[in-house]
Amino acid sequence: MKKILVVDDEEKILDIYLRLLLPEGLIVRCAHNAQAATSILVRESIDLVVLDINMPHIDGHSLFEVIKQFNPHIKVIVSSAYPIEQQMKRVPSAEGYYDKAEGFAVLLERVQQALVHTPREV
Amino acid sequence: MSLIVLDHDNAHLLLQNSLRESESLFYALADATPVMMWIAGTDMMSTFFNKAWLNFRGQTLKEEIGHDWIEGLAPQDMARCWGIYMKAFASRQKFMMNFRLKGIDGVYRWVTASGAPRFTSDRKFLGFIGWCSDITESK
Repeated sequence: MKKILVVDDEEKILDIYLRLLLPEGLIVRCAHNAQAATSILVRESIDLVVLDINMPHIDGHSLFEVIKQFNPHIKVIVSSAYPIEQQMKRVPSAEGYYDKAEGFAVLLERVQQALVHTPREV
Repeated sequence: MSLIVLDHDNAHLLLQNSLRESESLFYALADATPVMMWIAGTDMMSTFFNKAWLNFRGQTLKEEIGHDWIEGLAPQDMARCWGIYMKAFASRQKFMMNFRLKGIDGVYRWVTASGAPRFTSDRKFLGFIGWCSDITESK
C-alpha cells in the first residue's frame, strides 16, 4: 500500500484531503507544520508528500529542500492557492503541482500519476 | 552480618529513588558544563537543553523544546542540517555537522554539533543526545 503525507497548516484542508485519499486505498498521514512532517518522515516510509507552500514559520519551500536532503526519492506534489506557474518558480524541482482552485478530482489525478512511478511498495 | 529483606513495594521505591538521583545528577552535570547539550525523543522532538545552550540562544527551555530550536538555524544551513538530523534519526547512527545558529544577540555563530543515539539495555531506541560548541573564532 502506498503511503502519503499531507502537509498543510489548515486543519480543514487536511480533513478534506484525508477523506479524498483514504477511499483510494492509500495510507494517509497528516501534518500541520514542517516539524510534525519531519517527525513522521523519519519514522515511516512515505512514498509521496502533498505539500502546502504557505505555512507559518518554516514554509513549504524550505520543507521541500529538507525532504530532498533527507531522501531524494520521496516524491513531492506542491499544493497551493497560487497559480502553478508561480509554484514552479518557487519550487522548480517538485514532481507535481496542484492549484487548489483546480478541484479535488485534479489532485487525485496528480497523486495517482505520481504514485504510478513510485517503485517502492510498503 | 545482617540480612535485609525487601518486599516488592520497598524494592520498587528504592529503584525509583535511585533513578531519580541519577537523573538529578545528570541534569546537574549537564547544566554545569560549558558545552551546549540537548536530548530528543524518538520523534526528533527535543525534550531538554542545558543552561549553556539556553544561554547561547537567549531562550527559555519552554521556548526551545519540541522543534522550535530549528528556527534558530541559519536559513542557508537549514535544509542540509535538518536532512542530516533526519537521516541520523532514521538510521539511528551518530552524526556530526557544522552550522550557523542564532545567538542571544541575534547574530549567527558557527557551531560544531554531534549527536548519538540512545538505547535501553535491551536496545530499545530512546532518541538522541547531542552536544555543540561555538567554533566561530576558528572559522
